Formats: sequence, structure tokens, C-alpha cells
Amino acid sequence: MNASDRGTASPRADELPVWRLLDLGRCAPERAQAFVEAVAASVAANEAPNTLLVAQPDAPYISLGFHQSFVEELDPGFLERRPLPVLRRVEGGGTTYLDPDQGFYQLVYRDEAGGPGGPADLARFLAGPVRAARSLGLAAELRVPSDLVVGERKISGNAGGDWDGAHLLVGGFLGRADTRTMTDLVRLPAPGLRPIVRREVDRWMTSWERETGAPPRWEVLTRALVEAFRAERLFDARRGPPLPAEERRFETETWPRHQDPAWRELPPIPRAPGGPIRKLRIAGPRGILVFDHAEGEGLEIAIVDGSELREGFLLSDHGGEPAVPLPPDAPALATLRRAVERTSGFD
Amino acid sequence: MPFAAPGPPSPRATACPIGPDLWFRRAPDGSYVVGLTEGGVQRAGRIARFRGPTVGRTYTAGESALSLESEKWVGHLGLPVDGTVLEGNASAEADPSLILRDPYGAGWLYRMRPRDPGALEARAGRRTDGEER
Repeated sequence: MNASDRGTASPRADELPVWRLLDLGRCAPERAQAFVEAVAASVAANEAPNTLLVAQPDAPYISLGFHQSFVEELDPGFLERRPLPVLRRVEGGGTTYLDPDQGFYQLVYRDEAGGPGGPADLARFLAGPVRAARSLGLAAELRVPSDLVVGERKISGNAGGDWDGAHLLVGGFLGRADTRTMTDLVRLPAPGLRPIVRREVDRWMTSWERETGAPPRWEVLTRALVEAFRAERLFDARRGPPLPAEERRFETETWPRHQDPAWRELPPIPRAPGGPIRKLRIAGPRGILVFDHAEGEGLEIAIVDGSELREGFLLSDHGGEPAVPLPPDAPALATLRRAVERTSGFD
Repeated sequence: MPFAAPGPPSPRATACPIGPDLWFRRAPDGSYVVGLTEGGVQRAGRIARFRGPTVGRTYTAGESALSLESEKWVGHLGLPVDGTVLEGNASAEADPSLILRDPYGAGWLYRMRPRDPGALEARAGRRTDGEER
């Protein structure tokens, strides 16, 4: 790649900034997830242009959000049955299950040529994936701050962060959604809660297969993404290889860091007293809050939309008994509603 | 109208800004409490998660020490000057809305001992009540 391709000069008004399209194809989970971190330093140092990286993992794995705790998030029994790799990403958001039926797009950019970073960049750049999905027949929309939805259901999760002097925005499309595995890997305070979590995941998540019958080939989606970013006047992505310095940094810095338990297993952030003992965001404003039962033993389950309680359940013990729905006139439901409002739910 | 003696200055008035995002306040033991300014809070957005720096660790200026997450974006902040972190604000970690509600008071971020206190003082603007430090 020559210097004129590096996207550092200010483009004329009728020109788009040139970015690199770095297509890793199908690759190992650690590369699909974390190579972008090795790219960040090159982009920040102006050794590489701003970059659109695309990849598909060749095996399943789990990704934790930057602030999430391995111990709090993941079910130990699940990991014993299916010892999947667990990677903690540098961007925000929640725990995700990722597999070869999904494809990722990852943007790496500097301030002066890309944007200032921060949540506002999510809405600006996600115009690209929205347009790409629509061009392939999917009625996708952006639900701020960062979900792509079809109807009310989430088909793409996205998150961002600052790393090594560059800004990163990462996201992906669900070709097929393995909602059973998505649900089974989550650590829950009682087994009786799992069917409720599965029901909510099925209700608020979707996939390309569910919407259109079959996911597009990833090569087709990649072309659509490149065209969409161009049509949105964001950038013109041109194919380029990974730099030797990026490969070296990945091997000597990025991947060793991800293998270090001190990185992967950060201690949990302390919890506010009186708050929920578990908070599970399913998609956007929809989620589940779990509280200790105010009247005695057991748990209270709140199915929440924003800060509004939609349903309440009681789990009479911490065993495997099914949750009991709270009738609309139950005093416990009013107590639960007040508890949800105190936490602001998922607003 | 009788003269009313002024009360103690507000936490905001005694905070010295360091650039647009951070403030510090010197504690009686010579350590410094650091927090986000009102402008820094506005730029951070609705903070959902906050992980403070490691207590006891010495950081160089600018090295990523703490992280804030708002609307799925993780931003990192370094210490303004080289120094050792003496205390984190566990209450703000448990309830990051404290940083939004009371950035100059209960929502402070950490307490540190600078390697060279003069370097920190030299970077500070005037106190918001106009008094000399």
C-alpha cells in the first residue's frame, strides 16, 4: 500500500477518505476477535490507514464485554460440558456467544480522519451496516445506541471503545442464531430462571435465517458493506493486507495478553447495596432483573422493558422448580415494580 | 439587612480543573482527590460502568488507569501526572450514576499521591471560586 492510500490527507469535498479493507476471511476465534487490537496501534501511529476489518470465526467462542466478570457471567457447568474459548474484548456491551454462523465488521480509526470516538460515532458509522442489510432485502433499522433490529428483534449487536490511541467500533450479523447456547452459557442464580431467559432471548433476538430463510454468503455481505459505507459518504474501503508489524504485535502482545488470566478474569465490580443480584440485558431496553425476595427466601424475577415492569415471577427456592408468575393484583408485584423503578431498569 | 457570614465553599468551588475533563483537590494529608469535571461528565455521556485504577499501583501519566462505559462505548483515562493510587471510590464503582449526580463530591474517581506534586499543581487552572491554591 502506498502513502497516497493511507487516508491521512484531507480528502476533497467530492472525494471520500480511503480506508483499508482488511479481510481476514474465516479464521481462528482469537484472530477474528482480537486482531483488531493489533491494528489499532498501527492506525494510531499513522503506519496504517483507517481500517474496515471483516472476519468470520471458524469455531464457536464466548466474548465478554470489557467491564464484565468471567466469574459473574458464565455458567461453570456449561463451561465444563463445552470448554469454549473465552475472550474479553476491549469494547463495551455484554456477553455474547459467537460462532461460524456469524460475521464481524470492525472499524479502526483515528480522530482526525475518522471521528472523535464516543457513543455518537456508533450512530454515524452504523448507517453502513443498516444500508448493507437493506440492500440485501432485510428491513433493518438502527435502535440507538447500537443495535440493528428487524421489527423489534435484534439481529446485530455493536459496541465501541478507545484502545491504544485509536477508536474501535465492532459488530456483526447473526446469520443463524443458536439461542439455546446463548442461553445455556449464562450464569444464573437459579436453574428455574433459565426457561424464562430462553423465552426472552427467542422473543427479542433474530437472525438472517429467521427473517429471510437463509443468510447471505459472507463475501456478498462484505461487498454490500463496502458499497454501503461508500454510499453513506463515510469512506471508500480498498483491499489491503495486514502489515508485518500488526502480525508481530498480535503474536507478541495481543494474544499473550488475552491468554493471561489476570486480563481475562478481572475481579467483579462491586454491586450497589439493595440493587438486583443479577441484571441480564437481552436486547436493547429488554432485560431481566433478579432480586432477593423481599418477603423471605427465594427470588423475584422482573421482566423489564426500559424501566417498566412487564411481568413478575417468584422462584420459591434456589433449586430447579419452575418460576411462578405473579398475578397483576399481587402485592409482591407492586414491590417489584418499585424495585425496578429504583434501578432505572434498562433505560 | 444583617450581614450573613459566608458558609464553607461548595465542593465544586474548591476543585481545581486540570484540562477540560478532570479536577483535583488537595487533601490535608498531602494526597490529591481527582474527579471528572462537569464538562468531562457531559462528554462521557450516561456512564453505565466504571472501573477505577488499581489501588497501590504506580502509573505513568497518560497510561490507561481507569475506564468508563457509556452507551456501549468504553473510554479510558490516565492519571494527569505520574503517581501512585492510594484509594478508589468503591461507591462510584457500584453506582456510576454518582459520578453524574455529584461529580465534585461523592462521585470522585480516586485519591493519588503524585511523584512530583508541583507538576500537578503547575497543570491546574484557578479554583472555580477564584481563590489562589
